[in-house]
Amino acid sequence: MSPEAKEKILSAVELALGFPRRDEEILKGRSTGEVRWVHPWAPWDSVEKELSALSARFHRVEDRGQLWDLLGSIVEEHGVRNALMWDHPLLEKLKVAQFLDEKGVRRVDTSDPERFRMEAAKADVGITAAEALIEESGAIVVRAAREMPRAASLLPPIHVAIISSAQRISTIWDIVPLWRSWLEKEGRLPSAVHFITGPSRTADIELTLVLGAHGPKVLHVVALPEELFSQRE
Amino acid sequence: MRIRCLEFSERAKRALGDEMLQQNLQRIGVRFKTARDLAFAALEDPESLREMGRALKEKAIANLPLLLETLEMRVKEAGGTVHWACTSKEARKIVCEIARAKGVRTVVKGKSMVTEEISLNEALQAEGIEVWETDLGEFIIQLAGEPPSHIIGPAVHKSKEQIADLFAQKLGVPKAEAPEELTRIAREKLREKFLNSEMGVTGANAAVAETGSILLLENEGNIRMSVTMPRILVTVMGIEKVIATLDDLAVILALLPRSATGQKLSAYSTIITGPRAPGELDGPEEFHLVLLDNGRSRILADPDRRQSLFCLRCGSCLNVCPVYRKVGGHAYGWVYSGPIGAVLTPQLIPSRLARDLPFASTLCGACAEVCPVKIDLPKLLLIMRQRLSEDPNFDGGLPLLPRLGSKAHGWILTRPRLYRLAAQGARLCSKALAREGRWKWLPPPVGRWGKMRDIPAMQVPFSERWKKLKKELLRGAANEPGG
Amino acid sequence: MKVGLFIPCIVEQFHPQVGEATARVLVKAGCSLDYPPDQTCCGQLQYKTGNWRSAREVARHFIRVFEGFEAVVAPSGSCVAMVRKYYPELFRDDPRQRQRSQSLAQKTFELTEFLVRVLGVEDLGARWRTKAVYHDSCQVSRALGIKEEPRRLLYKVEGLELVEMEQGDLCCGFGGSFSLQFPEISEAMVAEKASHILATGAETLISAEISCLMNIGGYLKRRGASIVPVHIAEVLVQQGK
Repeated sequence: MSPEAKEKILSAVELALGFPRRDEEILKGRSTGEVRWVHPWAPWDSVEKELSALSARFHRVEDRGQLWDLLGSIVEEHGVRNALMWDHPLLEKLKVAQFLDEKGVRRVDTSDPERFRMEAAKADVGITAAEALIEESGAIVVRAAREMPRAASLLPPIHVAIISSAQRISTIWDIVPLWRSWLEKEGRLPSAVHFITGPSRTADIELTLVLGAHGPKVLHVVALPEELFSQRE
Repeated sequence: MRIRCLEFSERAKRALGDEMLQQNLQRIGVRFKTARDLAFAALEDPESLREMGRALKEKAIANLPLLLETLEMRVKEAGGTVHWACTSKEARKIVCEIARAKGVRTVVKGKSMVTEEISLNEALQAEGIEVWETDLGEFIIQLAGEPPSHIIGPAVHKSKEQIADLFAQKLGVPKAEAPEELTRIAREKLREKFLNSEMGVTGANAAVAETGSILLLENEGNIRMSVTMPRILVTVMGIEKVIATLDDLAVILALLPRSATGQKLSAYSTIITGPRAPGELDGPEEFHLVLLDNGRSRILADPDRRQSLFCLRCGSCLNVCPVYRKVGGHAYGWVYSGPIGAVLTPQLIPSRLARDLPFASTLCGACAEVCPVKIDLPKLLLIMRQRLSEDPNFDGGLPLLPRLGSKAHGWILTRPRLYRLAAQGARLCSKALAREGRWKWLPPPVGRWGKMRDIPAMQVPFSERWKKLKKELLRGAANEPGG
Repeated sequence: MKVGLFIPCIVEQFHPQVGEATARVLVKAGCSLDYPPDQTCCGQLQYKTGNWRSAREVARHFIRVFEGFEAVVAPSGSCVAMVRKYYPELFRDDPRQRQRSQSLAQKTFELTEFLVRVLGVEDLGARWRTKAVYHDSCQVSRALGIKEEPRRLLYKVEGLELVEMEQGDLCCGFGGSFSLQFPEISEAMVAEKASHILATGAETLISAEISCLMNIGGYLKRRGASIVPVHIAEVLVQQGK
């Protein structure tokens, strides 16, 4: 059935366009080359402004100690008992797992794929890293991978995203070389890429803005100096 | 969705009498128009961004065969399956077959116009499958059994009290009243569905041929849920939505949210490439992309009408349309409303069933000013009027009497002496029927105009005053210094 | 400059004084005028209702009547837009007519754009003490891009206080055949427009488009409003009120 339909549709389209020449050139990308990262020491004013306008919370911390303090206050504020955490080098370096253990916050069991959904639904907070932060809009870019479940930035009512100061890009246009670098390295894009711009929202009831429709109600974006990660331990 | 475009006039009248709807249409229209204008004004070069939008669409449409084949190839490489559907019927069959084969009992859906175009929900329900609309506004009207009143806010015609009653009645919850409470109730109810559903169904804002990816934009997170939790993901998309490269995708990301709601980016912009990779804990295990023609290739065949296919479905033309602002989306009688709806509908369904729509416009041009891909909507409306009136491939246009009247009028206009005679005749009628400088009675349809407005009586026409005026002007000029 | 006076059919039959005012304004600005008596109409009603065959006939006649002039000027945006934008479209498949229509299109002007952009005249020595609001007709402001010129002319009218209305770019709901085919929607639109106009407290409503004036003016009059609708040409010949 389907092969017939494909032929019919493509023939109809070709006929409609007058049998255009196939120009493979148009599939070639333009933005290739180096990603233009914003300098790690550049000011954070615009990021702060954008995130605040989105009702997202932005924090800058200097070291692991301050991060732990911040996470501690989040745990307190929201009564966190279960956390869904990514298995990610940045979070490892910051010893987030150890923090959670010490705080008595249970880490959601990600070992059983069949039960993952239900387990993830129990989490009070999701903790992830991110690929990039777009200054112009305050968006964080998150990708899916084996140890980086999508649910962590989606199911729990709170999402904490941790990035380094070396992960900023200026505008949406700067994302394209980043995408292309993934394409080059891995031969394809990740199965999912999310641009998360503030918490989940809706205005479907009487045009009144409400946060936390289906996704997280609270988004914490935490920035740490990139020196922390370039140091050898 | 059932076709009711011929009811446009009645539905429009009803909408005009609906206080709450009128208020909401006004609020939404002004709010989103202002937001859109601010967002574009903040750009360094808004015009050039729209030019880029148009250029990428022109390129995509002109190279559609290559892009569609490349898209299919890349989706397959990423582990997905591509299905092709010539018609609504075929598309429904494909999706139902997937659902049946996989033992699907519950479907969760993101808001998708194309799935309404093919009436997918009813087909799935006929198979005994539960279909849950998960966008909050769509969820509300699904519970209420009503059609959407607006493309961006489908439930804006309902007050929070009405929604509270609805939830209490249909969901068995205590009557809440604040929007926060009501949203929380919907979140809980739908979360249960997301976690237990076997299949998610979405549309797509675009598909990138270069990588085999689809783009999904939203603010609530229900689409992310639908593409993350269920085992199977089915995306239905019109063939015209494919774009060439990731560069083009960035343009769409810059244009669409700003045009639709004035946001720099939607809360969630999701790019899906195939099913989950091996070892991933969530994401669909199967990804099916259903490519739908359903009349699009026919539109493609007419170079004048081809740009109808550039539409991103952002809704900005609706937000600025003064007619839409008065009658709302419901009046247009089918899936697509406002200026683009008036253009597309008679091209996608038998045109005689939508014959009024292209005429339901004053051609004010507000839509063309905001379209992110610079579709010349007023031109398309005029072209549709011509096709409906003169093209044998189309059925519709004005009814017989006005059509003959227009022809007769046109005929007289090429004969100056006859024209002046006819005008004299009309002036005699004017003398008889006008009082206090205005007509007291006029035959329909012109009489309808006179119901709400004073129409001035006819006077000695300019042409008969010219001789005298000319002399006076020459005299005046002669008296002017240097004249 | 020898200008051909193009008097739209509505002006001819219902508001000839606008035609007279137009002629006076152009003469004052230094033009020598002629009025070709065989003119009838631009054909936009036929065109906009999809009857392009008829529209072509009317257009052919119009081109014949006017193509000999150096410039053609009309006190109407919609008629000028018809000639400039749509005549070449109508004759897309007829190279000779297309060429003739394109030449004519290049020298056909709306009154205010002709005065300000072509003749470089802004001050016509007009005097009128009144508080006025100017309505941007869609056909003048969007179709032809004329927004500044009428205002520049009005600023130079001695004693005239020009105020702006809210949502000034909102269509008045006329749309030619639209108001006949969908009168209720048209009424709702003109009602909203009228409310924005009345909210300015202006005594005078000015526009460069006669059909908008008829539409809004007719509605306001029926409602007993005292605001006076007047075409910009009529304002520019005022010598003190």
